[in-house]
Amino acid sequence: MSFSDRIRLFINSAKTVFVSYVKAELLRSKGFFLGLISMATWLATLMLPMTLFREPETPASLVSTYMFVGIAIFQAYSVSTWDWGWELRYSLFGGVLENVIISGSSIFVMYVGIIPITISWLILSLSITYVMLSALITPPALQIVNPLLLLLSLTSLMIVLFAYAMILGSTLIASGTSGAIVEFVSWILPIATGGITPLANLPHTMRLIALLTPFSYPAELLRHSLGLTTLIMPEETMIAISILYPAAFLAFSYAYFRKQLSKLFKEGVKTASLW
Amino acid sequence: MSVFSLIKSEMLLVYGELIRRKQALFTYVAYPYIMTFFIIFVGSSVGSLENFEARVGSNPFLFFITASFNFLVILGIVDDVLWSPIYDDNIGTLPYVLSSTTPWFLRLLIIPIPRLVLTVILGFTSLVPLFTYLEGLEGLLTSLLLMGLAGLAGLLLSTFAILVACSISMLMGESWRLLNIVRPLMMILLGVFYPRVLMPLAVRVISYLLPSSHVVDLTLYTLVGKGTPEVLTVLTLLGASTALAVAYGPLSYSSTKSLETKKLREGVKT
Repeated sequence: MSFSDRIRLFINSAKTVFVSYVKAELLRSKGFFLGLISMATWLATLMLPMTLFREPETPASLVSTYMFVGIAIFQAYSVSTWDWGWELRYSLFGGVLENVIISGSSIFVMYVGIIPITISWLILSLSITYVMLSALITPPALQIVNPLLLLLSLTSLMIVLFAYAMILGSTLIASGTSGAIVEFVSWILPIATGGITPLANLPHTMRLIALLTPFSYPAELLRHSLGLTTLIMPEETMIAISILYPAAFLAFSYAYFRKQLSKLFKEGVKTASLW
Repeated sequence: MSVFSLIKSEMLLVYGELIRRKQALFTYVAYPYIMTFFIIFVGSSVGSLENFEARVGSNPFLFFITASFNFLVILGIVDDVLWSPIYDDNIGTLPYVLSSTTPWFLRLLIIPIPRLVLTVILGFTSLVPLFTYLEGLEGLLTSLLLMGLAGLAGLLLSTFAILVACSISMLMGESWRLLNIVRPLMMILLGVFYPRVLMPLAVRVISYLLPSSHVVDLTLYTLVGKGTPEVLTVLTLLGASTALAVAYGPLSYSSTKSLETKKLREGVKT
């Protein structure tokens, strides 16, 4: 099969995955929209009390913006955990992954098909969050201070989260890790790596831990590009790390993914249960 | 079957499951601490603990451990009542429930009691240690009072929760996803984590209509007044709360009957 044929096959397969997800999640099931509203309401329940900690001179709109960005980053982590990482396990459980492997298609076909769904999910979810924060506190005052930096931070965040999903997904299909552990990781990770909180506000030890991970840099750069935080290191250094570290992390995760996959081919599936 | 026999059999069912699933029991103990840590950690990064104390008039650790405890107790009631019609429908026990001599409404009132008793007792692992550590004997007494109030808040929400569960099932069918929106929304409206006095007027008005919101408010007065809110405030809030719970009684009873009639007319879907 020629290279162009393989590309055409890849695109067609990804399109099929996309169409089937649209039909199943968006058209047939109301669960997609109800799930979005539910998640935004849960987050609002837990985030509302944060406003009680603000300085008297800090405007409510600033706190609302902080919360909006915090929720946005948290939800980005969530989709990478559940839509991308957990999806591999889910596909394995439903027998879909076996078919993908046997068909000779790349597993990444599924990711390419899911990503547009994920992005539309995120946009809708954030719109609901915006409405909720506007009703309960005040509308978030989003201001793009540096558009280029914003673009860089979003790309960098996407790469980091995709790499993380590959590590998580391949670990899940090659081991018997339970859903409860993933649930725990999905809560703790955004907090511990500076996803929700600006690095300058983290306790010293926690900040050090956050800086050791690739997650903290894009999140911090994102907040900085929106004028919400002052960087704890020179901007040039932060930009350089935000490019290099996610790239290295992606390369590592790809190698890890291949290794786990060959382990799966050799040893078979460890467990077939979800929880 | 007498009410006590019903409560006893529900207790055997719930506690038996908890003994088998110790992980769930551990989660019950850990949840108030996890939520308190999460809110205080993220909150203090937005501002400071001093700001919170100045704004609310209460120690943030005591406030949020109480709020998380109330959350656990109230959610126990809400979940047990809201899921019950869907659960029975899904596992195929609804025909037995409807043909039983025990009225469905009574069953719905009794179902949450075992979990309510358990979650209130679990105050000894969250409220009591923290209050006693921070405020000594006075703190111990306050924590016991707060445990009682949380139990009352849960109990008084029963009729309203039945009304919501049956009305949603009547109007929109059994949807756990829909109920998953109602659950957090109820927590916001009850003012569990965010005092209702700080909410916009429209939201506050809806909050006044929920029986337990007044008891949750009383919890706040207890925290701010260090265990001694004014007698008139106590009586007003308890009175409003009880009156609302009683007022929702006939409505929730009719909604249960309507749902029952609908189920008998349409049959159980498989």
